[in-house]
Amino acid sequence: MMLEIKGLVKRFGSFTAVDGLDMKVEKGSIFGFVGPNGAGKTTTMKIMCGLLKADDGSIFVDRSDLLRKSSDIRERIGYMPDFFGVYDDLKVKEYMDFYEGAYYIPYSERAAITDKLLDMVNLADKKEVYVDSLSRGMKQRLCLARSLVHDPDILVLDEPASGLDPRARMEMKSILKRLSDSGKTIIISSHILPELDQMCSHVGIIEKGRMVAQGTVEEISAVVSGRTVINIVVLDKKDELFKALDLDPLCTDIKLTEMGAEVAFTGGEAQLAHLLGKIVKADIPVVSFDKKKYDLENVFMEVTGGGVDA
Amino acid sequence: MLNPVLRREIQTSLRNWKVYAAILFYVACLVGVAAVGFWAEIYNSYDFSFNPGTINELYAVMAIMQLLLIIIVVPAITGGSINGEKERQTFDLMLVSRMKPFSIVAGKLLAGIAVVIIMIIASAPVFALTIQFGGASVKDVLLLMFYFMFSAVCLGSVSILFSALIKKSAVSMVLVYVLCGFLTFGTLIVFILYADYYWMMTGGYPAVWLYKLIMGINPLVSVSAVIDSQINIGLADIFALSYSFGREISYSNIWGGHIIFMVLLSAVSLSFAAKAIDPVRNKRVKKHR
Repeated sequence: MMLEIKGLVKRFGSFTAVDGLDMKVEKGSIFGFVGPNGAGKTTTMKIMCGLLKADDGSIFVDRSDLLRKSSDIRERIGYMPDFFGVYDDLKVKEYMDFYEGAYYIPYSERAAITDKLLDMVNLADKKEVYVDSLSRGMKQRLCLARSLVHDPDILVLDEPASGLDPRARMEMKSILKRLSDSGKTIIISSHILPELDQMCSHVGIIEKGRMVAQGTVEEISAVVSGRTVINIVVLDKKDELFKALDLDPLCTDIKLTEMGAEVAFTGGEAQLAHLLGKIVKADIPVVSFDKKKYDLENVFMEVTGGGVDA
Repeated sequence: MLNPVLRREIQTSLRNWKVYAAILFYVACLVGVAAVGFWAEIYNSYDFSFNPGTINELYAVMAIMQLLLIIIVVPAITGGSINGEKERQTFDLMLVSRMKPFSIVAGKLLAGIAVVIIMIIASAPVFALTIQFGGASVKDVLLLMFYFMFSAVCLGSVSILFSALIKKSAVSMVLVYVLCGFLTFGTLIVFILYADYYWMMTGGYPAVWLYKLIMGINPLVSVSAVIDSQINIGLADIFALSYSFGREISYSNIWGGHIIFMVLLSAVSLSFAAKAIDPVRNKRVKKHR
C-alpha cells in the first residue's frame, strides 16, 4: 500500500468539509478522486500536500504518518493545484530552475532535470520562451513538470485537465499514463468522468466529506448494485443458453441479445467460473464470456444518488 | 545556495527597466535637493561664493529626505510581497516546496530591500559631495548609509508581516504607511499631548526616560540623532520639541536605542510572518486509532 488515509477530519468553523475519510491507494496506480462540488476533494488533497492542517486522522505513506512528519510530505508528494498562477516574467527554464531551487536541488543537477522533465511534457522547444506566452495547456504541462522536480513517489493532481481543449487533454492523459508506467502513484481529481474512466485503475467516490465507495469501477458497481453483469456471446443455441442461465439461482435479470445473452450475476468469482463450466458442458458454443465494462459516470450517479455533477 | 526567492526576484528585477528608472529617479531627487541647496547658497551670497558651514545643513536635509524616501519606497516594494503571491496564486506552490516558511519570508525581505539597498548605495556619492565641503567624514557617511540600510530592513520586515497577515496587498500597504505615519509624526503628537496632560495634572514634566523612550521609536528623531552625533547641529532636539517644554533634554544619544528597537521589531515581525504563512502551524492532530 502506497498511501493510506484513516479517519481524516477537517472542519471550517461549524462546517465539516472532511468527515472521517478513509482511503487506500495502491503503489503505481492512478487513483481517480471523484465527488460532487464541495464534497471535500480539494480539501483532502490540500491536507495530503501539507497546505491545510487536519483536525484529526492520519495519512500514511509506507507506514510513515505525514501529518506528524510534515517534511516527508514535501519529499514524497508532488502537487498540482486546480488553479495556479505562473511567474509571467520568467522564461520556462528559469521557472523550472526556481522550483528546483525551492526543492534545494544542487545547481549542477538542475539543467539535466529541466531538460528531462520538459522533454517529458513536450515543452523542450519552449525552454527559452517566457511563461507568459504559453497556452493554457502548455502552462498545465509546465506545472506538471514543476511538480516532478524533486522526483516524488506520489503525484496529487487537482483537476489537471480543467479548461483544456480535447487535444491538450489527450496530451495530458498520455503524459500521466507514462508517469504511471514509470512507477509513480497518481491521485487525480477531475470533473470529466469518461476520461478518468479510461485512465484510472482505481476510483474513490467522495460525498459530504466521506468516502462512499472505492476500488475499480467494476468493484464499486458490484458493491453498489450487489451484482455483476455478464455478457455472453454464442455462435448459436441461444434458447439453451437461456435455459442454462435460468436454472442457475445466482442469475437474475436475463436478457437475450442479438449475439447471446446479458445476465445479472450475484455470485462471486468461483460461482462465475462454475456457471461458465455448466454452459460449456451443455455444449453451447461460447465465443466470449466477460464482465460488462461499467461506465464511471453511471456508477458515480448511482453512488451519489444522481442529479449532481462530479 | 542563494535563497531561491531572492534569486528569482533579482533575476526578474534586473531585466525590468522600471527598477532602473526608480533608482534613477531616487538619486535624481537627492541630486536635485543638493543642487538647489548649493545654488541657493551661492545665489544668496554677496559674491557668488558659499559658506561651507551651511553644507552641514544640506547634509542633514538630504539625510532626512533619504529617510522619507525609504519610508515611501520600502512598503511599496515589500508591502504586497506575500499577499501578492497569494493573489497571483503562486504561493501554494512555494509552500509545498522544501523551503521553510522563514526561508520564504527572508527571501522576500532580502529581495524587497535589495533594490532599496542599491538606491542607498547609489545615493552615497551625493552625500560624498558634502564631505568635500562640510564637516561630515567618510566614516560619518558610511555610518549613515548603514543606518539607512537598518531602517530599510526594519521597515521591510514590518511590511512583510502585514503582507502575511492581511489578505489584500493594497490594504496591507496602506496599513504600513499608516504605521509609518504614526511612528514618524504620531509619536511627536503623543509626546506633546502626554507632556501637556502631565503638566496640567501635576504642574511638572514626565520623567526624561519616558520622553526618550517615546522619541526613541521615532525614525525622524533617531536619524536626526545620528546626524547630531556627526555634525552636532541640534537637529534631534528640534524634532523632539524638547525646548517647547521649558527643559533641555538632549536626544543626540538615542540612536543606539533606536537600532536596538529596529533589531527587535525586525526579529519579531519576521518570526510572526513565518508563523502566519505556515499552513500547519501549531499542528496538534489527534492520533487516529
